[in-house]
Amino acid sequence: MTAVLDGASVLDADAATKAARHAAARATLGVSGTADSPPLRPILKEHGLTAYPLVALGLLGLVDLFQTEAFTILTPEVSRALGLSLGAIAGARTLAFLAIILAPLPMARLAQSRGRRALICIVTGIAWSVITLFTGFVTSLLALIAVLVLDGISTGSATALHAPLLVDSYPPQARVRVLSGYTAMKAAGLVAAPTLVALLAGPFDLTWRGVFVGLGLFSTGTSLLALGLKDPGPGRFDTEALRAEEHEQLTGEHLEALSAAQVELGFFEILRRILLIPTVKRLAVGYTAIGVLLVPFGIFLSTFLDQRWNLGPGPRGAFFAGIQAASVLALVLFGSRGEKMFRLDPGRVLVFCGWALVAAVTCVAAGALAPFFVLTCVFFGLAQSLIAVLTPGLTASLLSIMDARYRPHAAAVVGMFAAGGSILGVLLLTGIDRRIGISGALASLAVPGVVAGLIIRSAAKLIGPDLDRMIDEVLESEDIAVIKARGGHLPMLSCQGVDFSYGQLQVLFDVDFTVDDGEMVALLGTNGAGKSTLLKVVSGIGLPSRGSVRFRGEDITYLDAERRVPLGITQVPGGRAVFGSLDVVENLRAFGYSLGRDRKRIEESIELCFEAFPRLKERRTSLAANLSGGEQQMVGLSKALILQPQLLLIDELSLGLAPVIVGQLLEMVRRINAGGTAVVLVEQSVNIALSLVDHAYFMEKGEMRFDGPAQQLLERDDLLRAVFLEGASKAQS
Amino acid sequence: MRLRTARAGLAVLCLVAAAGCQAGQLQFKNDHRLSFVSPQARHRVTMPLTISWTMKDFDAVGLDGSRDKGRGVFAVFVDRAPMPVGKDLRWVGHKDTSCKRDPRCPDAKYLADRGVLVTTETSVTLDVLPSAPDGAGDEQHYVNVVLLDGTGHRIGESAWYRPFTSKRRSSS
Repeated sequence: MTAVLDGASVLDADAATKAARHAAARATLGVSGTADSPPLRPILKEHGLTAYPLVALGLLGLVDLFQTEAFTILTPEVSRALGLSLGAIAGARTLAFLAIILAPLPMARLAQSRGRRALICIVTGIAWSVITLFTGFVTSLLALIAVLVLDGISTGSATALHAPLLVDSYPPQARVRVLSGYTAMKAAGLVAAPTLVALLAGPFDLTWRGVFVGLGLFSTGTSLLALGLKDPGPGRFDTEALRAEEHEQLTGEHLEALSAAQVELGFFEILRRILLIPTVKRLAVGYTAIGVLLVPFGIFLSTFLDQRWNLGPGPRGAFFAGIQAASVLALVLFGSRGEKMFRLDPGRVLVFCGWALVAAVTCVAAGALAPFFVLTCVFFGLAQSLIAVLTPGLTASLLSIMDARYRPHAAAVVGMFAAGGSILGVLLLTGIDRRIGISGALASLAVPGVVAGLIIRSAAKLIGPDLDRMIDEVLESEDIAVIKARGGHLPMLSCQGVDFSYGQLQVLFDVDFTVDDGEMVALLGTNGAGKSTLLKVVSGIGLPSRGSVRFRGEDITYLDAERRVPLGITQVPGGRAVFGSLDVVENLRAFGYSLGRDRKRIEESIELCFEAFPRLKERRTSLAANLSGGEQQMVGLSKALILQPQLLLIDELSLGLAPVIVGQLLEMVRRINAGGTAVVLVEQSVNIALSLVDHAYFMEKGEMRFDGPAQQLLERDDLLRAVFLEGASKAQS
Repeated sequence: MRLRTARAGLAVLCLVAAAGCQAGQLQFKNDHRLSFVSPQARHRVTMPLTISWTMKDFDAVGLDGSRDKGRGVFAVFVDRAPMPVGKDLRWVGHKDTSCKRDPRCPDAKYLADRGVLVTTETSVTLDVLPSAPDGAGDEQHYVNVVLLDGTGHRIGESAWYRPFTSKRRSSS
């Protein structure tokens, strides 16, 4: 009894230590659990920071809008001067919009491998300024399309890089306020652009060309102010700080470049990894619904003001400037309040954003149907203010649960979802406008708005676990780094806390699994227990929704399957692990594909297979589909002889085979293992598996129920009863 | 390879943009030499319609073969865009193969049939307006007045635009 209590105490102590580490890590990431908002100035002073990165990026964000805004206002003049129909102009703008949708991803890719986000922001800022200037010199539709598309491409950096760069330039305690400030500067751009257009076209008496040249010069000058912008490196104040803190606590030394040894994910691997995060998935759907709402809102509001209230271009510009000014005020008010909410619980920010969106679309509907213009102004001002605060709230939440290196990708991905939604929205509203008129079309935006609000609100319960997951990843990688640095022992393969789902159906639950160098382990369990799925997670065919897979200490959880083969991981899949339409030799050559053009080595390996399995030599020209089950497994097992992996995963080797054949195959497995290759043998047949291995794992209903010596497993009647009990016991005795 | 293709695509876009941008003859400041007298902007008109204007610093002397930018004729384009800068009246029929084959084309009738009136006067009278697209409410129309030199080539980018409406005609 005492021993049990002691064990429980140890577990409690472990849990308490883990909780304390988590709480400290959350605090480092800006989630202190208290609703406070420390003053900005002391925070900046403490870290030796200035407002320059915020101002520089805010100015770039501000002038980014000039070309698009000016073009929207001056479309009639441009169309008349170039002799273009509105249809041609709309077509050109659609192409530009496509560029805006697609550009953020390449921008994220450009910033992925090296810390050059600031450089890209500066270069693209100057580029879109020059493009704005050049718009004033356009004389043909083709040239117009080119400048619009180039502008769309260059503005991709604002979507993908500005927010991540800001988040990395300031400590997490200031994150929401900084993002609010940046959004406010962008909103100020929406006030400044029509004002400047009015000024240049009015008192300065310039044509549309002159206006673009004027805006281009102003924009270039402003962009040059951002020349001093520097990239602080990803996660300087959060994930990297957390790594450094952990490392310091565990070793008393300052962090060295241990994390650099990790296996880096490629561009598409990063995108796939991001989209596996539940909060990101939910917010991506939310952003799509926001896209359905927001872009059409901007486009149709202008027509609404024209048709419903008979406002010309000047009064319309004043109206837009007015509601944008209201949103600047709202952002100023939101900054510190949002910060408090975020520090207490990021989920609260998402709940707030969800309700803010619902309130915003209610205001839009009320504004569209209001009988007096004053009421229209008030409702649309309120709506715009509520919509404005979504940006810092959602951006801070999204980027906080992300490894700093992947933030540009995350920003680009949700931007693309929003843009995709906006295309849907324009199509939808065009149809509604034709049927029930512009006021009804605007009021109908309440539907996607409420849907988006509820989706965003529902993400609140996901963000906490996702934040903890990121913390777990960082802490685990630091623990591993410390073990490595101390020369401690690391298993060859380590799976920790793995969850895996096929769609909505979760099949693995918090699975831990390790394999040492040269070891042969059996992975046993009933049908549907999750054994083959676990092998897929190890080989990279399946990606877990939670947990990690480490090979020689390096995180390979989200690495592509084909990148794991050169690391030394090979799987012989269950069933017919052959290409049926190829003959035996062609199959073996196909297995040698990853050896590249080393034909000599491939041919030698094939001869080695024929020595190991003489039967295959006899049937070398037979189609694999025509081989017997045993012969097909011989071909499958030959993969190990050709690739000579460090870790071989074998799924259901003996299934449906005659005992004599099974004996031959098992002998080969022993030989492969004796050559130094670690083997994981998935088997339903306990007597076969336990005749080979000393260490066994037992899975049931997606959970690891046993991990220990094979002999001990035989003593666990409670586990073996269902499937193997009698046969297994007899075989051992 | 993909990066190379992307760079090449970007270079082509830049070239197209640069090729389509001409600094010469472009107008960056508004030209206030011409002022419309009638009709008033966005007002409803009745037929026959007289479009009139006043002009400063331009001598409307006719198509005398001169390249002088201060003299020439007015071209009134009804419900259509004027020719690009530097093009002459032949541009109006540039997509019409029969007109391109005929050295006398376009003549005054050909131009008038297509909503283009050339005059040395400061007014023109229209008996009928081009048919408007189907829709509800008044028909939307506009005119553009541009300046041509003595050879019929358009002078600069200056174009004066006046929109107006007329009562919708029944489609039958």
